[in-house]
Amino acid sequence: MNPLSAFSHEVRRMLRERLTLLFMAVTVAITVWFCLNSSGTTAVDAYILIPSKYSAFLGALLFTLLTLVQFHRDYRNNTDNIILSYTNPIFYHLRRTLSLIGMAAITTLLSSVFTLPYALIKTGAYFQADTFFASWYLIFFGALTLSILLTSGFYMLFKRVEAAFIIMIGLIILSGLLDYHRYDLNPSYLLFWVQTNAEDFSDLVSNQFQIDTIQWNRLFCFPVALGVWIFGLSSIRRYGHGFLSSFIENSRQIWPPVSLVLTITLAGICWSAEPIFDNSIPMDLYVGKTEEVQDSGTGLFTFSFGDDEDENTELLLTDKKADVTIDTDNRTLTGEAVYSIENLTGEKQTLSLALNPGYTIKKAKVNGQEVKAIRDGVEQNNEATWYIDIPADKLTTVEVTYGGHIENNRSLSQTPWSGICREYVRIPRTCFSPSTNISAVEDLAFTWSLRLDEQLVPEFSGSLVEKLDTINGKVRWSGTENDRRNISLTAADYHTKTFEAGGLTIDFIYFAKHENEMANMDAIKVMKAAIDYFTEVYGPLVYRDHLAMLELPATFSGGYAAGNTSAMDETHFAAAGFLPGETDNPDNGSGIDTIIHEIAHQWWGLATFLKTDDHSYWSAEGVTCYSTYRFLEHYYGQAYAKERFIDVWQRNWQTYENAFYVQHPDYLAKLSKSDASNVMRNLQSIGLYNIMPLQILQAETALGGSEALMKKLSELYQNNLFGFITYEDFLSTTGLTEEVLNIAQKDNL
Amino acid sequence: MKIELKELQKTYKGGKHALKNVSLTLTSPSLIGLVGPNGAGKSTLMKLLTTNLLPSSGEILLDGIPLVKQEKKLKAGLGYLPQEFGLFENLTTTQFLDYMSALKCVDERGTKSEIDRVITLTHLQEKRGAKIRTLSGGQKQRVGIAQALLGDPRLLIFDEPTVGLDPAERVAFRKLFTDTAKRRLVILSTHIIEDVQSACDHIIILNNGEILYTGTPENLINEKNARSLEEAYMILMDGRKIA
Repeated sequence: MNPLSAFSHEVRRMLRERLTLLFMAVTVAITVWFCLNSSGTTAVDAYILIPSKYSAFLGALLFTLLTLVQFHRDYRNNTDNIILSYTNPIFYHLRRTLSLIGMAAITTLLSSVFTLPYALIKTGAYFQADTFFASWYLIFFGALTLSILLTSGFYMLFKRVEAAFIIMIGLIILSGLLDYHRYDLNPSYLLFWVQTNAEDFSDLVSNQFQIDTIQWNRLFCFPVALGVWIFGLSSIRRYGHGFLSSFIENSRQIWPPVSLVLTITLAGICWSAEPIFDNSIPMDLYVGKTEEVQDSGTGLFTFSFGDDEDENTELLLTDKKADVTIDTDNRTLTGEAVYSIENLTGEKQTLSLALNPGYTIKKAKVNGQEVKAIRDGVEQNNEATWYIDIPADKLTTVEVTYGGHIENNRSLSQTPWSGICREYVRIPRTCFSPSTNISAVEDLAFTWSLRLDEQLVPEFSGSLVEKLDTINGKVRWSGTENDRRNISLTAADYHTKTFEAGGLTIDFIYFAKHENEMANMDAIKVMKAAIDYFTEVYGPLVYRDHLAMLELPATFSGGYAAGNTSAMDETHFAAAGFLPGETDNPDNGSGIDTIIHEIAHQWWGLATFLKTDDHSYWSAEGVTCYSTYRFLEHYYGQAYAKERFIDVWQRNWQTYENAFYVQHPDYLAKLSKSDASNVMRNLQSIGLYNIMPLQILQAETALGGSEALMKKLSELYQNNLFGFITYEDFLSTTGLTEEVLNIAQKDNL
Repeated sequence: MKIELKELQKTYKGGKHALKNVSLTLTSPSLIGLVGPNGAGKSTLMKLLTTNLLPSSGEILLDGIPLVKQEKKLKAGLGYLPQEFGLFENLTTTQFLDYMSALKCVDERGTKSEIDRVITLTHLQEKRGAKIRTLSGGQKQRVGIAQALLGDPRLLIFDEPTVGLDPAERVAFRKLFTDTAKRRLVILSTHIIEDVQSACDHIIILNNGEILYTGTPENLINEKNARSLEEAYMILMDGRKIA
């Protein structure tokens, strides 16, 4: 038999069936409907990603039904009685499955006749071909293909149409539920088999990091589905035998069992060797540590600095240098770091260096002699620890050559925020150079240099930098830090506008593609007003001579403040939110709130450190949320501020009070460590961002009004610059008690 | 072509013995009628011959080699019409036969003429462009026979092929089977004794999974001293002469 001829006849047969054409037409119609009716945070999101994800769900359902029709109808009608007398059933089912995938491909191409020009028209200058391809061909077509493989696999396995249908419906619903639980249970992105976990695509910069996750999702899901299909194929009932005998009979041809083993192995490799996220163990809530990063909007917060308890005081870091190169073609970072260390013990010691888990130490030298660097198996907080033996000599120089692909922190979220690609680079502090826990001299100078593509404009959070030279299309940047901390950077095709506010010079750094919108909405006006307002009510930001306002990709879904930078994602720059005088609904998307929130963090969280504890929700977030509310009430009026803040806080407080694990905290102990940690993080988020601001409002009432409380906060700020502020400090400054203010007990969780 | 059945037994899961120690030799060219009451084991035997089932014990040899080892060879030279079958209802007669030609490895260059040939043999000329779902039961039966004839297979197995055909068509198809059997091995399973008497040169009578008779129809009539094959068959089955 000519396999190609038989396959083409099978395809033609399907295309001649009205029912097949109907399923294809309905699927195409669904893609058109979702294109016309979806909404999203960005244009690419609304007109490409979201329609493809919704279409993937219904498309998967429709192709599940079509597959069952094709397989079951021919069995029920005894058409198989004739067909299988002439052909090997394994090859027949192979042809039929491939033909169905062919139908899915034709459906996708037909839908592209609409979706492509529609996306081109609607997204205009923001259109990205790779994003379109990933959305419609990897997500949508991928979902159709996976549903065909899984459905036919389950049908052949169970030989019962209802069993295959129920399983498929279950799997489709499960994929949707993963989205629902993505923030509390943080499920692996590899399991989102229908729609993937891609979200919040950017209009302004490459979505390569998210496309990476889509590709890996498909790379994992495809062998899994193929494995189910081959297993089903291997169990096709033959010669009147049952499941086991048929499986043994079919396995006499060597390729089905070999293929089954290969696909299972491949799926296992894809799962375990997944390169985008690390294997960090879940990070329990850190208490009593200094927050380096204040992250808002995402409901997530990271603590990565200030833990001196683990400091190794037997070694002293006297000098550190790092020379780093970012290769955007290979998407890697490589570097050489040199540490000058004083051994205070006169005995052999072990130096531990923490690196991003995606990096390796390729070479290590101690006093010029090559030595071994040994990696610890445990990864925590997005760091893998490497150990290097140090001699008893008083002065030691350690040189390490390191590098690799950045891995994101799995324990926080399965959205890749960090990485390197040609259009966008984001290097968090843990990824620049190996950090160490040894104590450091007070006047430590960490000198670094960085080579980066010249088309990328970098923003270094809080670091003073110098542009040295440009060689072979790469700019060399250099800077010096005064402590052990690494630098972090974000680089893209950025434009910068500079303005004055609060006695400071402010750099507003935004994506070049946003140039016209930024000018039209006059974003600088509200930033200037906010900085002036907070300077007036709390006091000046004396610790910096300049601030940076940084625009981030939509993927961040919020903002953060770090160093002298307040950052917020592109969706917060919606023109409507910046033109209050021209519309009754000044902000449709809360964007301006986040910008003000991140500016307020410069006072609360960066100029002062609000120390968390285990009995209250006191943190920088609560005071920052309150400050944001106060400024926006001043800027837009009381009604706006009440609706956008107080009402929301109270609703979320009720949600907290009604939460199952708040009502039944004993059940938290029954969850796995990972799940309990995720649930706690969710509740903690409500406590920080909603309950504490309500408590501060309560303090305001107790003190007799906002003016009195703002004075107290100003006092607290000015008396504790660069220092820690505890909840007890707040209570003593205001003269209030914990009992008066606390509306939700954290202790019992 | 020579098919040898050696002590063939088939017992189904529930314990039903469909065939008991059946031994036979079928040689080409020949038109063999397989007759027996319902549940005699005819369809089981057909399924064993087409490898849709495997025997519980015993073996089938095709030209001296076990059939199970040359399933591919068998399928390449087989024309089969099962008793119960479905067709792709959305295809036209020609499209369906074209599809089956591809499955049966009919030379692509000769597909059209081969389809024309079987359409002519089965008198479907007027229905060649009609969707199968619009055909009558008898016309669908003819399409089923046509697909079996495609590629001029060495072995043709028809399970109740004339069911649903009108008397004139039955006569025509009997002649077709007779003509085909001059060059091929044709096995015809039927309830209609008349078909066997007028067309088959060899008859196998099965009952309760056992062979009651194998030989020519004439010999059976003579052995039973009957006036017709039908009468001889009834005597064989009931052990008495029909008045």
